[in-house]
Amino acid sequence: MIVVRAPLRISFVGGGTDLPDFYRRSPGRVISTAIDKFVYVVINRTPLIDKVSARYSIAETVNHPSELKHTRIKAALLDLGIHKNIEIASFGTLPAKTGLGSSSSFSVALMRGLHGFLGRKIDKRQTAEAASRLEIELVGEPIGKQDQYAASFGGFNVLQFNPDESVDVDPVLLHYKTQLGLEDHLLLFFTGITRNASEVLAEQKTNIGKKVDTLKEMAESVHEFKEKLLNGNFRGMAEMLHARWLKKKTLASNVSNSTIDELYEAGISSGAWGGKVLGAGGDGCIMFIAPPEKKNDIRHALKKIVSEKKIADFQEIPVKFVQAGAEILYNGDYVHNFG
Amino acid sequence: MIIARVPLRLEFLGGSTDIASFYKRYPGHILNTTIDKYIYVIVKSAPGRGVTLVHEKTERVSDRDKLTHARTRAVLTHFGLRNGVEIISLSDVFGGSGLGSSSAFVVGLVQALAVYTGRRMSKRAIAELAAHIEINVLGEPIGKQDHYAAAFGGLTVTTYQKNGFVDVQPIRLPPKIMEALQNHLLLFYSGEKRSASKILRSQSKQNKENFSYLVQMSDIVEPATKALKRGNLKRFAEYLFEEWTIKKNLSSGVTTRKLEDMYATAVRAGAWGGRVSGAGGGGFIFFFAPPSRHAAIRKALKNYEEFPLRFTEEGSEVLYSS
Amino acid sequence: MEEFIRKFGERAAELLKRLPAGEIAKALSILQATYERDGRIYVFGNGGSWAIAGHWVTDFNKTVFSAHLDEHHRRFRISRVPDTAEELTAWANDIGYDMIFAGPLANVLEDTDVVIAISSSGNSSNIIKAVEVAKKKNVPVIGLSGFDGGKLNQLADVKILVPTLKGDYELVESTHDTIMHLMTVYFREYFAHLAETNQS
Repeated sequence: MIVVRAPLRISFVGGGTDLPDFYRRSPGRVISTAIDKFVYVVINRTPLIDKVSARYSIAETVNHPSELKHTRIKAALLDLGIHKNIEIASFGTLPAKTGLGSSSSFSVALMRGLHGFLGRKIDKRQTAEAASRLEIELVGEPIGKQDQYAASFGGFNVLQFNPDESVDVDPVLLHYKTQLGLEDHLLLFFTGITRNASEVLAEQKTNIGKKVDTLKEMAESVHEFKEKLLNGNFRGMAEMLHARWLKKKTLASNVSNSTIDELYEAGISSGAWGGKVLGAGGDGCIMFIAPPEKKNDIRHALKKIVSEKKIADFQEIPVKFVQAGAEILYNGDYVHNFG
Repeated sequence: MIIARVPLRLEFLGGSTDIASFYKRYPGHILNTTIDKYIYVIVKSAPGRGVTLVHEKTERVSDRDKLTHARTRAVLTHFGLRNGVEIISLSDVFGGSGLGSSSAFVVGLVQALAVYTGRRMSKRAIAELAAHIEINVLGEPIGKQDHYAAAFGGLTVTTYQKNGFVDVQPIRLPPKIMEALQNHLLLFYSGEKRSASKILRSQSKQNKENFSYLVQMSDIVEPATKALKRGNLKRFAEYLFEEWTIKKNLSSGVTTRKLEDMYATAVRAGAWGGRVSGAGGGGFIFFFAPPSRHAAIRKALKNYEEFPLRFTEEGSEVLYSS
Repeated sequence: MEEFIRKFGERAAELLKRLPAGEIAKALSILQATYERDGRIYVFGNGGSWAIAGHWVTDFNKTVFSAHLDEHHRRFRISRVPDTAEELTAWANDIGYDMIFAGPLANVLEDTDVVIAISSSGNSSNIIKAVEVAKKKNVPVIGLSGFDGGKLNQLADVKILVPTLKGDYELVESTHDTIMHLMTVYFREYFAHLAETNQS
């Protein structure tokens, strides 16, 4: 049996510039960090069972991977030529569709694990490439590559997406005081309002021609954000996010819906320096950077709105940053354990 | 997150003598061994959420009492856990294979939750608690051999005493005999799934008539183990044959036409003897035969899938905990 | 005499002024990641580097958590390979001197671990053999080298090179020792801070 985990991520600046329609014209750039919430994938060799089992939100047992409903497991198994005697289970620290990149974290953990299952050791970059290929080429999802790299590498990184498809990973190495300081200034809430990231991205994609300048500016501003982060200038970071949030609203009509707007405005008027909606927009999580002494005010303000609107799943997610990326936690797969 | 790994077991002799209605009148004996096929139980905290069970099917409920999986519900109840926990089980075999997988799952869950809740439990305590939950709480008509095999591991003779105490005697074979035992073994899947509970329930109804059969089965364990220790595998296999012949009298469900055909075919092709693992009715059937006859037996049983396996020493263990 | 002392001090100070900060930061990040996944850290080197490895393991194991022993459930797990002189001589005598690190390392190395290799020349064949064991498993290698870095600096994932003239072992080793002390101090302060702010 092999156990793999991959972290979720918070993407600060540059989301959307990791889409080929943009980075083929001009390099895309994203700054993000891995957090202490994980997707786990467990892979078991079942020599006595001539089937393929996938256990996630549902349980599937089929004779051939082509019969699987789970599109990514199906595509991955077919691509790697694994057709039977395997059981794959997946579970996560958080529910899906939080805007924290969990579906790509899953793909990253899956590819790392399946290569391990085949007796191959692949590194962080190969893992990120394999997961990107799985999602974008094999399954055909209209998403970018930032999440696969963030999940595979771990830690804070500036990711640059080049026109030739290569990706530069530049780790942002923070002193622990800066890292803990940012944790102190950060608030993350799961809004309980979910929608499919592919839908929003598909919409963004159609608009991309008109938005090239905005995206270019975003990709550029990653450098400035990184400098502020390295200097522990949390207020400066937050103000950049706030300015970005205002601009991002013009990117796609429904990137922000009215409830999210309301929550965001409440956070700002309760003392947050800035923040952003995480993910492709309109869904998932909302993040604020705020002075620590204002955090309680912000919590109360948001809870008030949430109880008025009766959003049941709303909750705060305490966050720590992690250096660890996608990792095999346990490998007891005896067949390939030698050599 | 905690990962427990529990071995499955192959039953050689004495199955059903581990049931209370029998051992309260006459000491039960069972010879079995753990094998290199496992059940895995993963337990993870999920703060603020209900209970998720990823098993042969996936269940997501707000409270453990809503779980349809009775074994998980009962173990969670014992540990006082209502919600905020995720349990994932993976298995090397199908349920109903006669390798003790359903009790192995309970042993794994007990061990994982003991670590999860910060308790220290001995192998014996784990086996007893798992058996107690299945037999007393859930009313399964089964014995304790699977719990003891899974928790202790290895090749053992277990004795079920009148007062309920289970004595565990590891059988330490010289490496040469151990190797020979494995070399002479052939295991096939009959393709029939069966429910041990159903067979055992029908047996217990007729227990009065069955008492003398069970006495004979229990008594065979001692001389058969002696033959095994001497390395007389032919004699050992003949004991298996003898015991299987007696066991079939316990209820009509122990054997099926298919199992009888397989048995007769294997013997004709040169097997010394063999048995169906577990309560019978289907699942895995195994034979002991001189290696020179293996090819002929495989050919004769070519319609059935053969599975290689190794005997193991280690009982249920926590592989990972963080 | 004093001139000699002053000159040596100046050369040592020059190297300390130009510590490869980016690479050392990477090493700290990798050690942090290893701690998060509860992996193990294995250190080795020849001669003076063997002493640096032992010195570091001793300091690190004793110092990082010592101020707050009860607060930290999880600890770093660090050891020098091989553990004992007996094991070292057994590998050297029975298998070959170039296997003294690779052999013991292959016995224990898992996917979640990290390796720190120390070699002034960067070319000792027993060090390179062990690094190859780690590379084959895709276990990250932090390499501490001197002179021109040698093969170790090419192979390592984190390239901590103290550039000197060939043969300046003493200067390289002193600088390596400082870098290892830096790592100890960083994590000692980090974990003390976590304990004092109830975050451990």
